[in-house]
Amino acid sequence: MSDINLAGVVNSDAYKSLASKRKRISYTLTGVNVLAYSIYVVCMGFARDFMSIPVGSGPMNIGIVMVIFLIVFAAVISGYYVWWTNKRYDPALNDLLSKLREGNE
Amino acid sequence: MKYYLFLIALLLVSNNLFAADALTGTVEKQPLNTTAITMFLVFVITTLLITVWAAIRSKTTSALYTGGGGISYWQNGLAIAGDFISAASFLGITSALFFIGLDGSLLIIGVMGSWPVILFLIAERLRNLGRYTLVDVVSFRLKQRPVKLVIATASLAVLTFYLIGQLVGAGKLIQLLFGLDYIYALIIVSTLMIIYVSLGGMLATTWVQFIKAILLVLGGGITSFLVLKYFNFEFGTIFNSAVESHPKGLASLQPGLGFKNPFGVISLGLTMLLGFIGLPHVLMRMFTVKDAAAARKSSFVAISIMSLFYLMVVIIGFGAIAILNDNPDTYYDAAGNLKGGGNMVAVHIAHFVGGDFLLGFMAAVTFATILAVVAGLTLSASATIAHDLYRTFSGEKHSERTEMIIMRSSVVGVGIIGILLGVIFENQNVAFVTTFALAVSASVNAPILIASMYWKNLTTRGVVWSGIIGLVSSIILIVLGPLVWVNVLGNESPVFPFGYPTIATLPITLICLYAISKFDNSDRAKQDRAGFEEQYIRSELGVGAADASNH
Repeated sequence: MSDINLAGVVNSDAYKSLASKRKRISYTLTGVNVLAYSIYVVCMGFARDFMSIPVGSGPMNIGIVMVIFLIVFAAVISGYYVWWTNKRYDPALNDLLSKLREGNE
Repeated sequence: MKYYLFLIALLLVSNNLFAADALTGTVEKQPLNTTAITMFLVFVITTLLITVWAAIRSKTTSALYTGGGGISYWQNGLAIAGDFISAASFLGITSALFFIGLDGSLLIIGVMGSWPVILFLIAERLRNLGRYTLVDVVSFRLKQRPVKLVIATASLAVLTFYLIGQLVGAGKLIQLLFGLDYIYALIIVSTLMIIYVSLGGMLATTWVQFIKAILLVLGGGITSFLVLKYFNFEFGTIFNSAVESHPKGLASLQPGLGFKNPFGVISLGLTMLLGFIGLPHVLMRMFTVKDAAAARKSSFVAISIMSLFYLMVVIIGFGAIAILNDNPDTYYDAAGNLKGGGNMVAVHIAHFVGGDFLLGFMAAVTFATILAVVAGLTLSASATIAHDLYRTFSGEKHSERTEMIIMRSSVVGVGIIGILLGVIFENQNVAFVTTFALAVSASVNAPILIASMYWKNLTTRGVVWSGIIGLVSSIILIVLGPLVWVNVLGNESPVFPFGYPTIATLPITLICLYAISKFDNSDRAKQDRAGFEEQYIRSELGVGAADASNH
């Protein structure tokens, strides 16, 4: 990859739009994850009555449902991010780099 | 071979001692468990053979530190999970759910909340920027010596305290499970750890963690399946029965049973979210794979395994409430305490649903877990000493050969210090030890690492001063807090109200980091800021990131 001008790559419009798409996804997912986590922690501390509201007919409550949801949720959003970067971002980046490399020849 | 004989002899001798020892009344439930010992020996022999194989391949510092970057992503992902789910977290969380019900889930969600952040923000950039340690990454565009000194000190503080917590817990657990004396347990764990890490380096450590992760998930899977079967596969029944059997009834499924102070809950939540992000031995695993894409996939494998495992823990922990409380004669002593102490819930459950065989299996897995985690911690500590400190400060005199010698001696040193500290801390309340490790990780390592990768205006001076201030304020507030001031020093009430100081120390570090970097007009600061573009290119494109070995 040393045959192409890297500073040129990161400053090209094509790269910038790809990078900003990726940033949007990783920042949004981080935000969603931290938000979900914060809601849970704050409710565990300050909204104990809310967490105790029963769900269904048994003793299950919002707190327990939230715990199970969050355990699964972490794997789901992580899976989405990895799927997106593997299937969308990496191929697009490789495309871009090989185009720039051809352009240099 | 002599070593195996020694080990077998040790186990047999101590068992005889144990049988005759009337003092260990709490251990009575765990007589010589042949299943446990056989399985444990099979694990030890297998991992030692792997260590021999790995030692032959570990002829360079790169191989010792990171297996030459040639480990596959799924194996690394399992090893991360193996590294992360320590015995303390597995046995401790199951027990937390059993005793304090829903509040115990904070410990699970802390892990599940921090890992996606590692994946989205850290894993790929970290892999692209560093070679062996997180210190490499923080110091990438900053002045090497002062930054490395401060961050390496913080890392070593985290690792040492984490190690003490693991070793003291390990000594006591092994005492309970195998009926082995505390000091012998410490010596066995430390010796095996020294052998794995000094000879086999990262390759051997990875295999130990990888095998252990598979065993742990297998054991957890069988146990949770049998617990579900006990409740006729009706998920709701677990909670119905828990409410009927828990001494606190319905309150066991509601928040507030374990953590009374709401601000304490917030501080705990913050400590875990950031603390798990900054653990040097876990971040180091990102350098064992060939590139950023593999680091990303490793993280996902790790998250999936942990997600699966903690779902099992929820079933086991809440299931235990009904099962153990409905069989008080078997699992409680005359005084009404859980036999073998508070950490034995998972072990008792394995015994109830799977008999002596599953009990033995889980005991062996616990021992393997301890070994895997202490090996990872030791490897990271010795890489920090040899790579971040010796290499940086030796300058011209540096040689690869000496660095390898220093790395291997550090492993032996850490092992010996571990035994000594383990003895010193045996009868202390060690709750503060792990808290301290996580608090420093959350207040120093994690914020500085993230800032170094994402904030252009960060400067050398900012990192050095905020690192020192963050470290010192964490120490002071933990000493003044309930875990040391009250539990260890015996004062009546704490000066600082929370066990986890992060709620105060994190803002202190962040403010210092921001203000000092912002108003830093030195020449070095200009260089630090100018270096950001090159760092950004490399963190995004991975050009020049250390290449993987091709075997």
